[in-house]
Amino acid sequence: MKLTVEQIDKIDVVLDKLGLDFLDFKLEIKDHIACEVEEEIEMNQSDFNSAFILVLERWESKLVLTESLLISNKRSFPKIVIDQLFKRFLIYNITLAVSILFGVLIYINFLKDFVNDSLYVNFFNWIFISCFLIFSAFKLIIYFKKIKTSYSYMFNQNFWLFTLYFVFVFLWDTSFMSVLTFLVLIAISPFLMYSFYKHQHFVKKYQLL
Amino acid sequence: MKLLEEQGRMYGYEITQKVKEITKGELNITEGALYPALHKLEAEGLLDVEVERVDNRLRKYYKLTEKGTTETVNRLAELEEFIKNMQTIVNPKLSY
Repeated sequence: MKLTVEQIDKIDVVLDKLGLDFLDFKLEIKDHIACEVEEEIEMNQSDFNSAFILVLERWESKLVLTESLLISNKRSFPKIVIDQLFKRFLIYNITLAVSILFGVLIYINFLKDFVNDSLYVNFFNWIFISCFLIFSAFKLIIYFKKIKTSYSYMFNQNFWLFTLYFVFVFLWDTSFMSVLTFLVLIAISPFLMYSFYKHQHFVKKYQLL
Repeated sequence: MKLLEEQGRMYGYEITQKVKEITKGELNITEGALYPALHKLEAEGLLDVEVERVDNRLRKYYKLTEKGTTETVNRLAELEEFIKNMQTIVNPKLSY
């Protein structure tokens, strides 16, 4: 027996309530759960609600809300999502930390004498402003599509960090900050571009339907 | 990957059921292991994804890319070699 649209919607609502709101994860987990529910109904002649509860019990350990400070200090995610996002965020955080450390060392050893060169400072600032404008446009595209994926979440997190840094730099602009600006830019930009690309790639496939 | 090579394209639940069927219930791939593995292969460019509307919902199908097909052949050859070596170690033929 195939599930009706209403029954599929019910699964969708329950998964949302369980914190599974990233479409790139929810899409296949919803289908998997729906397949198991259909099998349960067919095998044991049970009704939708009992079958759904039984399947949810089987999924409990994978859907239990788990926290990870590496990913977010504001919200928790189902374990199956955390397990996959952890590695992605670990690589990101390590890259960011290493880039900044490496940059500070370069600044202390080689760039200190150039800090008063306004051409050099302006160069960094203009690159930063250009990138900020490009990423703001990306952010608007993601916002208006209204589709939430793990990649849009990663983009948003990085974007707010980038914005915070952008505001900070223009409030307290010194040459050392310009060097750091460039380093943050180098560290965050690839992640912002990658997240945007992956999100758009998913949205394109999803919206063809 | 071997299953995908044989079947063309498959979705998550189908893979778990097929593995259960082939191994007569001996091997049970959990969702917690299957999806991360599929996503990793997808990120490595070995699998491609197609999303289709089936039975009132969206379904994600996985299929091997060209690179994935080549990699499957290589990995299967490596696995066969490994099994052969293990058999030699476990069950050595004594020669005088």
